[in-house]
Amino acid sequence: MDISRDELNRERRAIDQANTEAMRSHASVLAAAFEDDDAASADDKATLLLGGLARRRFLTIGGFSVATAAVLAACGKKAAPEAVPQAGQTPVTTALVTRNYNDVVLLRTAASLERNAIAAYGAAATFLSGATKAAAETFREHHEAHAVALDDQTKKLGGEPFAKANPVVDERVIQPALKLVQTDVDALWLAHALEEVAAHTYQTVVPLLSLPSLRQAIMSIGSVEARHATVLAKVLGAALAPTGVGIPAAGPSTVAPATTTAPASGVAAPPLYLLPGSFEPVAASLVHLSGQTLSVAPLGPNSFIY
Amino acid sequence: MDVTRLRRLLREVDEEHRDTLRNVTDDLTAAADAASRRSFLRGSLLVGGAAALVAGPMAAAASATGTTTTAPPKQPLPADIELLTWAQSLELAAVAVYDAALAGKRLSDKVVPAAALFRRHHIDHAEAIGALAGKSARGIANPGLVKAFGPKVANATSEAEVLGIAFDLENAAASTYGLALGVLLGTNASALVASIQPIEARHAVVLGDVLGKSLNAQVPQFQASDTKGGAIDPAAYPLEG
Repeated sequence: MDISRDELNRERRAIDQANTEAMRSHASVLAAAFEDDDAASADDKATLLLGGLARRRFLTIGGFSVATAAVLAACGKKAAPEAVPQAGQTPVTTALVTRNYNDVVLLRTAASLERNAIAAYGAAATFLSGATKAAAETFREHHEAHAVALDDQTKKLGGEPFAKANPVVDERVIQPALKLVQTDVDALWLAHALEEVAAHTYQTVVPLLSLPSLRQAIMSIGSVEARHATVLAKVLGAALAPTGVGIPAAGPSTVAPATTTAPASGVAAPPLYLLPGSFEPVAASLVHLSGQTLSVAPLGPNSFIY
Repeated sequence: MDVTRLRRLLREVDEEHRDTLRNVTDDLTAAADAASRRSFLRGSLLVGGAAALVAGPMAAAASATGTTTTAPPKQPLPADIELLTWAQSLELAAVAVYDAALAGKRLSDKVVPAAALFRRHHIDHAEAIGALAGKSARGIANPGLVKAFGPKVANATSEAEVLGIAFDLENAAASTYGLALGVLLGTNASALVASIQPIEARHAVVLGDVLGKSLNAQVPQFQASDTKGGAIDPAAYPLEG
């Protein structure tokens, strides 16, 4: 055969996956229609059950089967290729672990991110004072309430709440960043970046959650993180420049004006926005600490809490 | 057999398969449509019936184990499109409110750019929602909302009064999108709404800051997502009449 087995297997898996997904959807409709007497009329139920065997579809299925048979026939095993002599030990390959995530995983991950924020605000508090410290304390309390709400939702779904901060975020973002935090401005930058990351992460999670009620719940938190970020951008802008970032200006771009005050090190701070644009982005957030700019990406499968 | 022939056969199989899938999709759409019509007749604008029909099995699975085996639909279902169409009218009503605010000459030079920017955002939102709603999109401002907010802005006697109306409207819009997220079934529609809701919330924060509102007024602990929390009830502001 002139086609590699891998390619053939890939094609076969793609077809099988499409078929499996279609069958799941159909099964859901059938279940819903027959579990509730009012959900569908007798005619509708008959159509749902027998529609697949209507004349037109019978012909379709017939053609489908013939074509499938042709491919399967063509894919039959051929004689094994001539073996290449090999000396020594064959390297051992270990298959990568397949990790599936579901609603519980996403909720546990969100709760862990809230606890990252709680820890970061706790550490940042020592650098803050006055109204800024009071605002940070309010936001920390919000995150505590969010974590509890996410834990409750996790329990409702039969999962076990994750009562710790996300270890990946802690190890790769929080701890390295805290080593660079030396001033109130640094602390605000870190808090701002974490709020942006949380807002973007929750937005990312919305289409992954299976139920509308869970999407609603996660964005009742995500929108608040976005509000936190805007408040912190305002405060941070005021700290960076006497005039602050002001209110957003209209123009060809739909983003607010940037603050690019150069710190003592001479490295310009990244742009700071009250509003990221017409739509909330799913993007990495920048944090400027001690003259260094770090990028913090929204959480993905590698940092989910399974 | 050569690769070309094999690929041709695979394509044929794929086309046949997709044709079969189209039939399954037809069944799904017809079932959801039927539920939507029944629900609408019962007086529920947000079409809980469709949600029950399609999400019912998912809800049962999730409540039992926290996992589902049925992926939610990506494309908006008929009930989603009905809601998206209404949401577009909300965005265009917000545009009309900002138009009135900008025309009223009550805003200072410092605030005008922000009002113009927020107006632009609402246009972008309306366009994105319209693109997802497709042919059903009406492209009109919600008449009831324009009637409720427009005269208030026109009759406002100060900048603070105008901005206060905009602040309330932006908060109401954010809450309304929270309400919508609880009923939308298609993930494409949910994702779009989730990208709009935080922006409306940020608008409210900026306006609240200019108005000198307290931090708690600018940032609630949780974003409300029901009419008690300020969400606009679509049934109270229908597109018709």
